[in-house]
Amino acid sequence: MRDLLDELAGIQPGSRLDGLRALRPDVRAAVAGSEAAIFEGESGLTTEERHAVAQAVAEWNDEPALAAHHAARAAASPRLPALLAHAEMLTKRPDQATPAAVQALAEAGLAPRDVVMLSQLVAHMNFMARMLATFRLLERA
Amino acid sequence: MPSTHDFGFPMQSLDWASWVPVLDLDRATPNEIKVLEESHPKAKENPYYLLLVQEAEVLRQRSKLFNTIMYGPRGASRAERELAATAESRLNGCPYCASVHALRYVQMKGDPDLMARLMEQGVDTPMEPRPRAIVDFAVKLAATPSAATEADIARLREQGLEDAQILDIAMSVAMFANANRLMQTLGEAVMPQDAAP
Repeated sequence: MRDLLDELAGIQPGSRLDGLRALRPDVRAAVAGSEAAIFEGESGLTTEERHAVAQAVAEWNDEPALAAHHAARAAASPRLPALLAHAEMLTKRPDQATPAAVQALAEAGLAPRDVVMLSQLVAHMNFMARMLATFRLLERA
Repeated sequence: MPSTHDFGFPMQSLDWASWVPVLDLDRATPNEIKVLEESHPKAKENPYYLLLVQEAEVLRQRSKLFNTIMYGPRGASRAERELAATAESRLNGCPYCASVHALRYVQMKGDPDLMARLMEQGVDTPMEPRPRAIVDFAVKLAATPSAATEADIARLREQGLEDAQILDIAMSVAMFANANRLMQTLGEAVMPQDAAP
């Protein structure tokens, strides 16, 4: 099974990196499963909002291919600025999190479940960015 | 500006309190119960999992990812995966994550002195060349992914790590880029009521 990381990192079947990834097949399965659950699951956050936040997190992590993947399905919404402000803090300054930041999301109309989805989405994108950076390094080194 | 670093990094079991309403276990669906059981042996008593299970399928997939990256057989030693996770958690300022994984490292590897210093002084505390190479790589990949370089990979290889093990260390860092951000921003570490100060 191949996942989005294989596609974006250009990992060819039978290559050295393909062989390294094949040692942990559950990682590929769970990355694919996470992508489906986060971007295709039912949520109070629209699909377009989720992709717009994902695009921004990829950009903050300097991952243009990952950003482009999400840009295709991203669109703005009235509350998107509030979602992006939270995503930026989570990505760049997670030590500055406060209960007030979570409260601001509730005031923007997010249910607890939507706050969980937003946080999981941002956390997942930060995971994906580090995986892509690692594959580039291992390919070159 | 207040920071999640302000709590400090005590090397003891901590509790965690959610800032967001969590699921009432009595009202959990069979699927939610199943996801909790797949996630962690004590998930049903833990507010962190009772919070996350409100997006059950997302938690199911994430737990599968976490458990295979941190506990999967072969590859990098579990202790070295924990070392990378602890260094990153210390850097990012997640006291709860850092304490759990520092204690787990000591359980598997011994060397409580190294972990005590890492917790108290931070990631620059002196250490032997092999843990140093792992921590330096972890810290760079954690802070700014593009900051890690081929030279960091070369140092890990010089210390005897094979590429499959280096990938395992990197995946542990990627996983804790995820874990720290959930733990740090959805709630906070608290001292257990029954613990000595």
